[in-house]
Amino acid sequence: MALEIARPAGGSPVVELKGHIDFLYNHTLGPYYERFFDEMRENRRIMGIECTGCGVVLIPPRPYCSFCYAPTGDWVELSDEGRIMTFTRVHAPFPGQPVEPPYTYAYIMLDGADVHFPHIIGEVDPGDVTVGMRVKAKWAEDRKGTLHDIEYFRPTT
Amino acid sequence: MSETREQRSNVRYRWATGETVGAFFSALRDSGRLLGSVCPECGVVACPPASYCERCGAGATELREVGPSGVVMTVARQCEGFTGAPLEAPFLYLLIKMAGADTTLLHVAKDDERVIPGTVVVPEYAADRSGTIMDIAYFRPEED
Amino acid sequence: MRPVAVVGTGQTKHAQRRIDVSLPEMVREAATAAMQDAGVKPAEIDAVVMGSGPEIFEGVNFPDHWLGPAMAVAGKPVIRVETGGTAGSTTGIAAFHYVASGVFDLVLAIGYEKLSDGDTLAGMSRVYDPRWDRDFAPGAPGLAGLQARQYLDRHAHVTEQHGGMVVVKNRRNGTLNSHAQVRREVTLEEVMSSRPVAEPIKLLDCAPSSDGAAAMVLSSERRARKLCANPAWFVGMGSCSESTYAPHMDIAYPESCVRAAQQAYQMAWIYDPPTELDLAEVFEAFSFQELVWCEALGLCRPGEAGRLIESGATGIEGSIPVNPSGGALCANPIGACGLIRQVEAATQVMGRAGDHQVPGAKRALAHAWGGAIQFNSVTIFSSEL
Repeated sequence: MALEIARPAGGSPVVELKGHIDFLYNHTLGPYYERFFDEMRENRRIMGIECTGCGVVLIPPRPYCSFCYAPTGDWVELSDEGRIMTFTRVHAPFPGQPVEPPYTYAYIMLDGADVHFPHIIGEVDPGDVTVGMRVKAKWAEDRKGTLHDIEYFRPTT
Repeated sequence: MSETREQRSNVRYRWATGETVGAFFSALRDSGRLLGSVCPECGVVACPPASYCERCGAGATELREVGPSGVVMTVARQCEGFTGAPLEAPFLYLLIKMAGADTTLLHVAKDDERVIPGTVVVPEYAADRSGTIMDIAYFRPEED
Repeated sequence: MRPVAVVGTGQTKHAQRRIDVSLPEMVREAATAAMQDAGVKPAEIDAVVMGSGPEIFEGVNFPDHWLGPAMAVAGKPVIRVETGGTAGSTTGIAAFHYVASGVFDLVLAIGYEKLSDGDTLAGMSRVYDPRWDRDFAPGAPGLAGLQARQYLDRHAHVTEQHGGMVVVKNRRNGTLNSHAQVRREVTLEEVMSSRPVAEPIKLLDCAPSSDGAAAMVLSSERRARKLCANPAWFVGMGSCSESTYAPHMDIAYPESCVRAAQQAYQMAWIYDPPTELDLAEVFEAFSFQELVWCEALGLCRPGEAGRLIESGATGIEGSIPVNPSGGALCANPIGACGLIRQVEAATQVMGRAGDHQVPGAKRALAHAWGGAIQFNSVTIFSSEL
């Protein structure tokens, strides 16, 4: 039996196949992130956790120390103030950015912590940001339990 | 029960086909023909084609028309639907050895008791063809 | 462990978009070139180790099932290695262990990446913890910007200009490398005036986005002596990881890089790297990283990398050429990069580096980094066992 071939199509030779993959994930927070973000949202507190072995204070909180592998123990309230360890002014667009670039992104060593806290710097001329500058969190009014419960960090002076 | 945080995104791709697979899809789109590649060393005809022989590693540049019919080698009945399914469930997955080919092509057929290993099937083309494997909407028994 | 040598290498012509080949064909191009260079047929290969970056880059999960057949793996063991930026390097090291163990005589190691098929930035954004710093989405340039800022702030004698000098040097070297993607020189003025990406990183401080693959055939001593007049012997290697979000991390002088290098030097009996090595191929995805790696690898003291490049010592005719191939700044197919550094280092001591050959090279170092700068690996090749 003859095959019915639909009207022939034409065009330039096929060189690529286009498509897309949709991702939907529901990432489990786990008890450590849950408590951490609850404290941010409810109490405007940044919590670290202390290692029972070597005594370092870690954020984000976790069950084992990344330095000596001993279990962690007590939760420690950290200051929402600290010093800039390093920073960069981001100009390039990137999926999921918190604000339109350019913005200043920094690693901040909060008083009391031994691991940096990532965040953005505001209320300062970008050219005036320095390594070692002391900054303090500006908390958001509307908080949802994410790092954006802090809008940005701003110079203390 | 732990809290979760939702992350959703859509990533776009454009997979380079290379010449051989590109020619396969061009022929399918333009004239509904299926092409296979011929290994110059071991003679194996592969459909879908590749520019290399999977058995012996030799480069394969000759393309040859295969089909239009093929023999069903095995069937699996997909009972439930899922996102992105090629046909409405229930439908059949087939591995088909096109006439003249030594390897099998994965495709689909409508749910049909007559389609079993050994059945001869032919392509039913999509109304609009754009150079993808779904330019064949599905395979159906030759006798229809 | 028994001795292992590289007896053949191959690379693709790296490009921003290799529209002419599918991913399996691209991988096959490098694999075939390496096997031909080694003078072996596919059937003689005992096992294949392949490496690339995260699957999201090419959008095909479990790619080994698709790529393996392009290298005639039927009947052989195949393993895929994924360690981010160090993937290529770890692939080479894993292949080394396969042969050194005595279980396999001839192993094909292949690293690849076809970034143009997908969306690199989307892939990169998913490298971060979704509950933590993914919220800031700085990407690789953002991370490198933080690293560069910390490094420059610490050392008064190193300036943004020195990063620019790295670009000028490597771009010049790229014009001598027929596999390089970018083969056009730039001036220091062009680098310094290029638009900012993540300060102090500017556009020309960044490696390009690339499609490419590299492969090498590793052999036992017995086979190597028959196959190759001048194989490249693995004489030292080290791999080290740090945690993410760990205390005491120093991205401007990463401990994992220092320790990986120390492990490799110890194994190779190297006490004074700048004089005992003839060259180094380091993974400088961003110009300033070459300065950081030179220090962490012990090619100069901390804070001295600015003076090192100013002196011309790391130029192709210098006392310790760094990236004579042009480095990642001339081709950066991420998952392949570490293996390209190994291939380049090996071909140098084999005397097969063509126009970018460092004359008389006998010992060469290859380096790669990955993750949030917490993975580093170092491999040392020698023309003598």
